[in-house]
Amino acid sequence: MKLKGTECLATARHSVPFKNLMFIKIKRILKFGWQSFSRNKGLSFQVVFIMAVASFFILGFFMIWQSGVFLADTLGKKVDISIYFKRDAGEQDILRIKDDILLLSDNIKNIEYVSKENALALFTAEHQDDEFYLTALQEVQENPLLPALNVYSNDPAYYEKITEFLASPENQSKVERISYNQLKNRQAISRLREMINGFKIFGIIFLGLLGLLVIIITANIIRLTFIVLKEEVSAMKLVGADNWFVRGPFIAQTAFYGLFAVIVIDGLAMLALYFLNSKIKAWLLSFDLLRYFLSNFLLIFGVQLGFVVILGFLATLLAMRKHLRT
Amino acid sequence: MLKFQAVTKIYSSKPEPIIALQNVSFAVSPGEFICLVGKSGAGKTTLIKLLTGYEKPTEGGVFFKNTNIHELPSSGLQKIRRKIGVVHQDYKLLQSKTVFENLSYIMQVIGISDTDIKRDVAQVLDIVGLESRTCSFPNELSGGEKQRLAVARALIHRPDMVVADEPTGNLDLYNAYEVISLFKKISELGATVILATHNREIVDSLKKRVITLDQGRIISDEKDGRFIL
Repeated sequence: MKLKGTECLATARHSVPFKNLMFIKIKRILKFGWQSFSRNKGLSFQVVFIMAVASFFILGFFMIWQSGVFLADTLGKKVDISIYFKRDAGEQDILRIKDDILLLSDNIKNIEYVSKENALALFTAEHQDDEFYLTALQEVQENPLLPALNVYSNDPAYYEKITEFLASPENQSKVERISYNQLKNRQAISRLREMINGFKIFGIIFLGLLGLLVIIITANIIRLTFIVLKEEVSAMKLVGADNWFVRGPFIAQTAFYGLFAVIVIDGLAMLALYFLNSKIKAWLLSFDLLRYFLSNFLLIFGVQLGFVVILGFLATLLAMRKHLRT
Repeated sequence: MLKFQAVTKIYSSKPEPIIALQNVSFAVSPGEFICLVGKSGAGKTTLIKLLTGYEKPTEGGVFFKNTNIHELPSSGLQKIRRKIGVVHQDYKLLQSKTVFENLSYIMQVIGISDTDIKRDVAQVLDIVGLESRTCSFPNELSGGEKQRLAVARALIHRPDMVVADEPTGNLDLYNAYEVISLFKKISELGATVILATHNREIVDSLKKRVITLDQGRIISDEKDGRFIL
């Protein structure tokens, strides 16, 4: 040791101007947080893993919810009821019945007329790769398909009205049969919509519980670290650091955990969707999950990050509260 | 500058409570250099803990610049702590920070600019002979190096008062006298210094005010005093 140079302990010093002090403090807090994050790799891995699980569930919530909404909408657009007419029913008569049905209610969204020829063309196109159907059609030699009206309605209650209308003697003579199978479809859609609403409520409750779990686990991991860091926190307080200057770096550290967790999960999700999208599309009636993810990325990323950062913040406050009393 | 007014500190302990300090009163003027002596368990460390607000007195008050530090809110106490540099017996270094960061931390707390921090930390590290250990962590330092780092940390922010609890305990004679010379220099620059030690040679060579504690009581308070135990 040398006493030469102790003059430095009396030289002029420059405090950071008050207006910049807050900015400098935040910068220092972030720097300390980053140092702690990068130096404690074991702890960082554990907390990032927990937070990654939480952000995975949030991502899953978005994906399942949007897929459900898409499925319900797509199924809703499918034919609700099909009225098949006799082979000899005239096109004018069918179109008149169509107009009459439309007048029955505003809840009938649309009625589509499919002539015998169109029906055959659609059938052939749909089964172009199916040798069995094409051979059968050739053997029959004439168009076996019937002209039809496909009725789309918003409310299953109006199917009854349509049925009653078609039961009149004048109409009954022209109608071959009515396909009510789509009613089951309608019930399925109603159930699907109920499930989506239920999922939304369940999902929010689930995320709430998950949040609580993440807070408890993260708080405990951080608390375990603080048992080791208890002396450190105490030393920081003894040199005059205020509570936010002590607590800030730990909060910044958990924010870094959250950021890394979300980046990892979203990166993996993007990769998985890129490679599996064609299969997922086949399962979900052509719903493009990758496109949905990319076009809503900022929203999803923001919600995930906000969720885990707030959880980390609460967990840190919870874990530190006892140690800051020194 | 500092006043202990009828301070008693009792630690609740089983089978019976421990009386660490009993009705201790003394005052310290600005720039004064005081040696606090006493055997192990005499109450030196408790006195320092009370002075830094780490412990609260059971009775009495500790006044720093006429303010009872134990009646201050947390933020007020922190402001007082920034004006006191403490060398703890167990160093209380920041284990997760390097030597440089240990020294710069206190300066960052009080809002010194980065340029001044870099300059002063380098100079103080040079003074205490740790310039080659800038990037080491405390667990990589020897006992003596830790002690020198603790001394450097207590001085670097130019506190109004420096309190040192056995700051030479892990140092060889040469380095011990260097540290004491450093405290004398700091005192000459206007800071108040309270040195708790049971090193007879150092106390006798300093020829400064000596407060002697025994079983939690002040048994002697002498100007130009000597080690009497």
